Amino acid sequence: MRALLVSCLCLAAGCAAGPGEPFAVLSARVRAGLDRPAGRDAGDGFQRLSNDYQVNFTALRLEARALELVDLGSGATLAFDPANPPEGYGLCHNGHCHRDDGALVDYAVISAEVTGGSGPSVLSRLPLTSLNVLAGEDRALDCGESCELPLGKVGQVRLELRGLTAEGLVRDGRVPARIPELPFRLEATLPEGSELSTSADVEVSRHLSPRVGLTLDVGLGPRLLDGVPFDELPAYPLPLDAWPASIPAVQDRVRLNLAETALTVSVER
Amino acid sequence: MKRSSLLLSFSLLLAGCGQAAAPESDVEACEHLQEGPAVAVTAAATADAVAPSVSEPHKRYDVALVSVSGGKGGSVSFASSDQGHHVLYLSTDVPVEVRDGSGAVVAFESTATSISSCGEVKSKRELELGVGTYRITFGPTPTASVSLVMEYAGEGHAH
Repeated sequence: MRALLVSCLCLAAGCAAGPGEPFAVLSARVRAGLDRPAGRDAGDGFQRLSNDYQVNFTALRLEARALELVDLGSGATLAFDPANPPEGYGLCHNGHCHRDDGALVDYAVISAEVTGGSGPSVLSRLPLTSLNVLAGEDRALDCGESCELPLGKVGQVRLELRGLTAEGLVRDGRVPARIPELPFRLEATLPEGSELSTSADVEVSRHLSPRVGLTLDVGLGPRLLDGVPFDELPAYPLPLDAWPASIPAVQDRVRLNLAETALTVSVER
Repeated sequence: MKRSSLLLSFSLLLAGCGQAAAPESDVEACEHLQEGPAVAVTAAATADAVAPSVSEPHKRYDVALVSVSGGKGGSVSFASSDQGHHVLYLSTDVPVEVRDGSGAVVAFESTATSISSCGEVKSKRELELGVGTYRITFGPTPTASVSLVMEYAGEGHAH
């Protein structure tokens, strides 16, 4: 009788989910690729970098941990000045700050810390693995129970990252050249909690369609290896695996550049 | 009442017609020259020395000039991540030369010693840059320091 009553009320209100069902079911996919603007084209498959080196990628993988759909809670309201962030944070731009340990932390998380508010809550977390950026990735995510969305509002989509692996050839665009053409392999490891994020506006309620199709586009920018000091690294020629992840100048530069990666969310209901 | 409304509208129309909107890069440059954030660097004295970088966007670089032949001067480096139109704003009108990574001089497309958006800009120079590192050399000048803001104004010409 109660179920019948709920069903009737739902019908009258136009709600989409029946009793015992999730309020919405998510189908998600991730697409990833490398942006190659014409101004970067140096010929022969090489791309110009801002420090006049040129790289030709033979492999480029973004090591991802998970895709998260987040209800921002009280963190939706910015509670600090990005030009003067709280202690422990610096270099705030594009919706995130660099924590002292190198992690990229979203404004919403910091705002919730500052106010002591409810903070963001994860509505859905979908595990991810390596994304082949060079070949271009278009992957439907298998999310099982994580596809069931509770009531709430997705205000943000996060891509949690482990790091980045790049392989290829590097040469110098200057005359005289600072280095000969060489193979390189670069592994940048990101601290736990590093993420890229973008805003979203997906309400999950009784009154809206229960099917949410979400696509996250990850566009690795041409600036990815800008400023990497190829000439300051150990003696040449290098074997492919000889560039350790511990070279701080490389790690720092790649982390900063990676933080500029553009995320775009599109939603179909 | 009607007449005063009409007069007001006419006045607004006249005011609007006579003023072209300032380029966005001018407004940005004024903001950074006035409010920073500022980074202090010391110019490299010789062409062989490593020049300090002035490449981060949305910053004002306060460049301390050093002794060179004929007065004060020196070089800084700008790593351009975008191909297209750039505008170099300076707080003092000092001699400037820009060279690419191979040493070729980059010609300025236009120069001005003032802009309408603020009084802090004493030199505005427009130039086309590709992706790469450029050396900006100041002087010789009697001036001991100069503040610099570089703005990217898009792929096409902004003027």
